[in-house]
Amino acid sequence: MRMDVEEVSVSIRGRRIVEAATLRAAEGELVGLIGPNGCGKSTLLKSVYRVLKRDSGEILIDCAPIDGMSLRESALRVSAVTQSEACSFDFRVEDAVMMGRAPHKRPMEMNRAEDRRIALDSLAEVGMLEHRDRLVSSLSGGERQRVILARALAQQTPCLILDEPTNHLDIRYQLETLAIVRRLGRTALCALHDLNLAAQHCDRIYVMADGRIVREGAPEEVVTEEMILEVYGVRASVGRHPETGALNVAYHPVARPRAPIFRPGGIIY
Amino acid sequence: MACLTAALCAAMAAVLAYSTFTGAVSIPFDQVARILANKIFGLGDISDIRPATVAIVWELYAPRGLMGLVAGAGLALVGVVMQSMVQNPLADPYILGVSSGASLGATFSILMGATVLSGTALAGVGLEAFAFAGAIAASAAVFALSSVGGRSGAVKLILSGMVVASVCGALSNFIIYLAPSSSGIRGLTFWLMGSLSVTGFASVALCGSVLLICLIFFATQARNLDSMMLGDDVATTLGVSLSSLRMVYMGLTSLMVAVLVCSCGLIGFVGLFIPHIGRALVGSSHWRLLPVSVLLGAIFMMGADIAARSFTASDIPIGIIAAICGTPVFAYIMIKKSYGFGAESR
Repeated sequence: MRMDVEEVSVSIRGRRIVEAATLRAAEGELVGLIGPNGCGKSTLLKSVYRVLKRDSGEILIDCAPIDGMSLRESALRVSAVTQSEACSFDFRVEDAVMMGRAPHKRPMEMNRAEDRRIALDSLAEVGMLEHRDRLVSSLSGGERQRVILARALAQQTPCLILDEPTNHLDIRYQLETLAIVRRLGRTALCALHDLNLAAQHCDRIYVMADGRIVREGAPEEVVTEEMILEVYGVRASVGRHPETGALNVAYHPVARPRAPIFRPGGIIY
Repeated sequence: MACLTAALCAAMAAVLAYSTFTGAVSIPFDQVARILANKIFGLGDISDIRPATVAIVWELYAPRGLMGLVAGAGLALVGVVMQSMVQNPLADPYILGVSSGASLGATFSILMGATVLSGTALAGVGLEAFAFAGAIAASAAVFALSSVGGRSGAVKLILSGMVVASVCGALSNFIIYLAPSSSGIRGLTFWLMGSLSVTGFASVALCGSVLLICLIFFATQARNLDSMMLGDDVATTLGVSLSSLRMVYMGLTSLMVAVLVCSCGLIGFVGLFIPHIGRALVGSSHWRLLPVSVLLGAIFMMGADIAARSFTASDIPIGIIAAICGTPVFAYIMIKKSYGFGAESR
C-alpha cells in the first residue's frame, strides 16, 4: 500500500512549521526522513498520522485521501511509533501491546485468542516476549520503545510511520529495530537522526530543513559531504566502509558551538 | 479473574443482605427475612410483626443498603472513568467541579433559600433540586471552558475543573459568611459530609437507573478507556477520537455524580481510592478494572454505611467513616503491593 504526502503545509499556533512538503513511499518501500532538530520532521509525520491538522495539501493512503476515512479506518492502514510516550498509569507489557488491536475490534468485542497470539508474536518480534508480564513502568527507556514498536506491529497495518524509533536504544537494538522494519516489508516512513543508519537501511531518503524538503533520492545521492555541511553545518567524510561496503559517514570535529543563526521560522539557535 | 468477580458478587450480596437487618435497632434475622419476602414477593403474612419493625426494615434499612450499593458502585465507576479521561491517577469523581457546584446549590438552598426566595416561584423547591442544578451548571461551565479554543485536552479539563471549583467554593463561603443565622450550618455540614440516612426508594430508583445506563454504556468502552489512558496522540493513532468521546463521558459521569450528590451529599475518597485498589488487584486494563472496581465500590460503601449506623445511636456521616476505614487499606496497598500508581513513582 503506497503513501503519498502532497504539498502538505502545517502550522502550529499560527507559525508555519512545514511548508509544502511532498513525500512518496511506494509499496514496501522504507523511506527515511532526515534533518536537524526542529526542522519539522515530527510535525510532518504527526500530520500524516492525523494528530495535527494541516493547512493545505493532501495525504493519500493507497491513493485514497485520508480525510475521507474515519480515524478507525486510517488506524487500520497506518500505525505509528511515536516519540517518547508518557503514561501515568501502569500497564502490563502484554496489555499495552494488546491495545494495538483496538482498531480491529467492535466496541463490545472481547480480545480473542487470535489477538493474544498476534500480540505475543509482536512481542517476540522485538525480543520482549519474556517481559510480557512486567509492568511498563519497570522497563528501561529502550525496552519501552520496543513495546511501542510491538504495539504498532500488533496493529498489523500495511503502512508504518516511525518517529525516531531508535531513540533511547543502544546500537544493537537500533540496528535490530530497522532490521525488523525492513524484514516486515511494509511501506514505512521513518524519521531518523543517525545518517549511517538511514543510509544503510532506507530505500530512499528525504532531507528536511526549515520545514521544507530540500533533497530526495537514493541514500548515496542524498547523504553527501556537501548535504551534511549545508543542512547540518558539519563537515564530514562520506565513503564506503572497507568491509561492509555500506555508505559510511564520519564527522569532523566542530571547532566551536555553532554561532546563533536567525532562522526564518523564528527560532534562534 | 472469573473467580474474583464471582467472589466479589457473592460478597456484595452478603453485605447487602446483612445491611437490611443491622443498625441502631437490632431486628431478628427471621423477621427481616419474612418482611422482605412479603414486601418483595408478596409471600407469607407479617401481621404479627410490629408495624414499626416493618417500617424500619422496609423504609430505612433496605433502601439504605441499596443506596449504599448504588452510590458505591456509581462513585467507583465514575472514578475509574475520570482517571482515564483526564489521564491522571489523582482524579476523583468530583475533579471536574461537580461537587463544588452542588455544594453551592445546597449552601444557597439551606442558608438563603428561605429568605431570598420567599414569595417567588422557587420557594418550595428542595435542597436536592438546587444541588442538582448546581452540579449540572458547574459541569456545563467546565465543559464550555475546556472546549474554548480548540480540542479539550486532559490538562485543560483539570484546570477548568479547578477554576469552576474555586469560583463555586468562594461563592459558597460568601453565602456562609453572609448567612443570617448559624442554624442552617449544621444541616449543611451533615450534607457536605455525605449521608445515606435520608434516602427512600425514590432516590434509590433514580440513582439506580442512572447507574444502570452508565454501566451498560461503559461496559462497551473498556477498549476506548484503555486507549484514552495513553494520551490523545496515541489514541488517535489507534483510531479513537478522544474529543468526541470525552463529551459523551463527561455528560454521563456528570449526570451520575449529580444525582448521587443530591441524594446522599458529598462522599469523598471512594471514587479516588477504589479504582486504585482495583488496579492493584487486576491491573490497569479496563476489561478487568471496570467490573472489579464497581463491585468493590458497592461492597465498601455498604460496609462503611453499616459501620456508620452501628457504632453509635446517632448516625455518623458516611464520608467520615469511608475515609477512616478506607485510608488504612489504601495505605497498606500503597506500601505493600508492587503497585506503581504513576509510571515514575517507584
